[in-house]
Amino acid sequence: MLAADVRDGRAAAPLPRRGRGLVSWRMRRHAFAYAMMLPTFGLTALFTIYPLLNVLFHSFYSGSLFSLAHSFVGLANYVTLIQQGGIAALGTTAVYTIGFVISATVLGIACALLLNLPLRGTEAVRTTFIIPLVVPIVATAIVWTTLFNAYFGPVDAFLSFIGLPRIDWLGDPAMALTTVIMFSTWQYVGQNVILFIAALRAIPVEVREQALVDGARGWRNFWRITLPLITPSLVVVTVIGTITAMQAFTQIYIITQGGPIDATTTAAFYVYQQAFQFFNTGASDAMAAIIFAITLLLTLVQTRLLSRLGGGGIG
Amino acid sequence: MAVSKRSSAVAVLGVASILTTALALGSGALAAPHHGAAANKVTITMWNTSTGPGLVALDKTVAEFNSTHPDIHVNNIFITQQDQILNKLSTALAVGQEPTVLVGDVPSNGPQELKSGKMVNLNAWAHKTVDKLIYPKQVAGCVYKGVQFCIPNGAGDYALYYNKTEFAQAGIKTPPTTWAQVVADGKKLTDPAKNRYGIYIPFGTTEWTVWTFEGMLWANGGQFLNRNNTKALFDSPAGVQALTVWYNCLYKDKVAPLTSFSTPQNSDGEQAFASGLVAMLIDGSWDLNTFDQAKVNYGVTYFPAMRQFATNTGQGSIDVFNTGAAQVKAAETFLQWYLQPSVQVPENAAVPGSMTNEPAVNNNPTFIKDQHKYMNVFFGDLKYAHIRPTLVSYPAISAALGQQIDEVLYNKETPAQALKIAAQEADQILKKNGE
Repeated sequence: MLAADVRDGRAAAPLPRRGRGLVSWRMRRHAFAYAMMLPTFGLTALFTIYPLLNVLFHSFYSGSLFSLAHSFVGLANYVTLIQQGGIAALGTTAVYTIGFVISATVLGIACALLLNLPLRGTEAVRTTFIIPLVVPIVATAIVWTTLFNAYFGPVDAFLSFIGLPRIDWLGDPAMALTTVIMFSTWQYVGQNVILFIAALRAIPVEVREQALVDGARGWRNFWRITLPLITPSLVVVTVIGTITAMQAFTQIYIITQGGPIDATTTAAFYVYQQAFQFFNTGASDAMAAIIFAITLLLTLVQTRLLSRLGGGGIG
Repeated sequence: MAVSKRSSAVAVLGVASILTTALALGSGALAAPHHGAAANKVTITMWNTSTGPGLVALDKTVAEFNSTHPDIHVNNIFITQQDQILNKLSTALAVGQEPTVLVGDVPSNGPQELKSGKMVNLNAWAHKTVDKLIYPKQVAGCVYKGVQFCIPNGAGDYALYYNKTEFAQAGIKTPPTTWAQVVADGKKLTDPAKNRYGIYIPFGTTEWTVWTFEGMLWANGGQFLNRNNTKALFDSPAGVQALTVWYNCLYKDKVAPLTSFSTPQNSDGEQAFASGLVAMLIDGSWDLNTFDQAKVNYGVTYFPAMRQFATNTGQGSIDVFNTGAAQVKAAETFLQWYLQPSVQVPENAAVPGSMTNEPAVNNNPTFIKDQHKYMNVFFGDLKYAHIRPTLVSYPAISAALGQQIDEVLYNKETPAQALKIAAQEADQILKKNGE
């Protein structure tokens, strides 16, 4: 017999042993919680799960942006994707994702470590990291485009002033993706700084003091003590960063429109191109399905790997 | 007993939260286009893509119509910019929230939009009424497989802007009339050390690049597609020579900057001309006001010839969607009123750089008097204007050609290679769409 529930010193009625009675009891006990979650489940089902299933379904059909009629074509859309630049777009996405996640994470940790020092003025400096997060990305991307213009942007003007050659940040296919990564890092690093500062402050004082007593300082202290203890936050940052990078569209649309010569055409931008420029909704859906599958796989792998490194789960 | 009361409270709370969610979702319906037919008054929704002075003028015109036609109310809504209209319209059509009238679409979208089955076939009434007010070639651009799916509204072509101050300093007395002269003048105007170049070549994969290249192609005697629209012809020697002129401007004669000024807002490179980086720019009448405000001392001349003069004409269009018999009839009444020269003249006279599709408007003394001093060049260039083919395949062909042109401008392919690849892709697209 299961242990009875005790409240106010009085034993409640005994729990059902098994089966529908137990399920029914649990549902009654947690009914309030289920009721509170119902709208979220409903909205998620309606606005996330249903569209996702719809996209997966239509990735095996050919159709038009304006017509509801479509015909089954099997894997033809995926073949089209391979033949018409889809692989290149996925490759660009991989480079972009790796570059963005690494730079935003490393910079985030570095800034958090510095801002966590007990120095005067760090509070004010910390606030400035939030600014890119609250300004609309469209506005900042437009400004960035002007800043990095090769002929009349202030960045190249400064380079010329100090005797360095001009760089065509947005027009050189070899530089354009790097420039977009720099923009995205600048846009999102503030979020990572906030998360890492919170994680650093959550490290128990006695652990830090004990580490110092044992002689762990500098890099050793960071690698052996700090990093494992902030791993849960590291997992969150890399997972969110990966998902964000896989879906990158706005900054690319504003800054480079996928160019020059497809150098910044990521998978998400490819989805837009296929749907709204080529009117090829089948290939567009196929790429969207692939983005979902890759993002899901990466999220699961990252969570497992990083949690193992940190010796625990998320949070 | 306590458990039972608590379950009831939970149930009530759960139902309340579901109802709240449903209400929130349903409120979206309140923002949908409203087509109504209250007693003796029909309301229609009209979307527009006008901005700035054009939007102000259109609002005023619609208000005048509403005040003089008590049985019809036109609900005029700015929906988005013209090059974003496909996104909005496709979503609206899919969920049955399309407007009755759309002012500011482009004819090249029409063959795709026809697939929705909701566009009104305008053959019946437009042909007998408003079409007579419009240049015949432009009406032809609104017909696909015998169906007139739109009414032309708003014209545009491009010409060559030149910086008079830069020209005077370089000792050039008259603006160029041919591309050979453009290159020769460009060499005198170019000084990379001072960040000065002769002309901006339109980088980018947008329609602007392709639209401008088409002018080069026609100026060199080439054709875009064959007569039956079943095969691409832009990879002919005439097309290769035309694209080679652009390539040489960048890499052989070096009279153009090696960077793109294309943005989602515009692709014509107006910043390059307004800032003085380049002394010549291919652009349309819509930027006359821009350069006036930038206080550039400029002139305008015809788009340079190769074997002949040519330019491209783009136009806006008005679509009508079937949102109900009463609404379609009301739209017909509105458009027959709206497109009269007596309405179009004052509306367009208030918009700097405006060009219409109606000769009676373009030649009206009041319209001309209020127009910019250089509008006569754009009007004059119209006589050399060609139009793009109106096909389901055109947007995809344009995207494919734009990508290949960009490969040339970034020195990744030769003009011949690029146009051959683009032509092969175009032929496949035409075949796939059964044109």
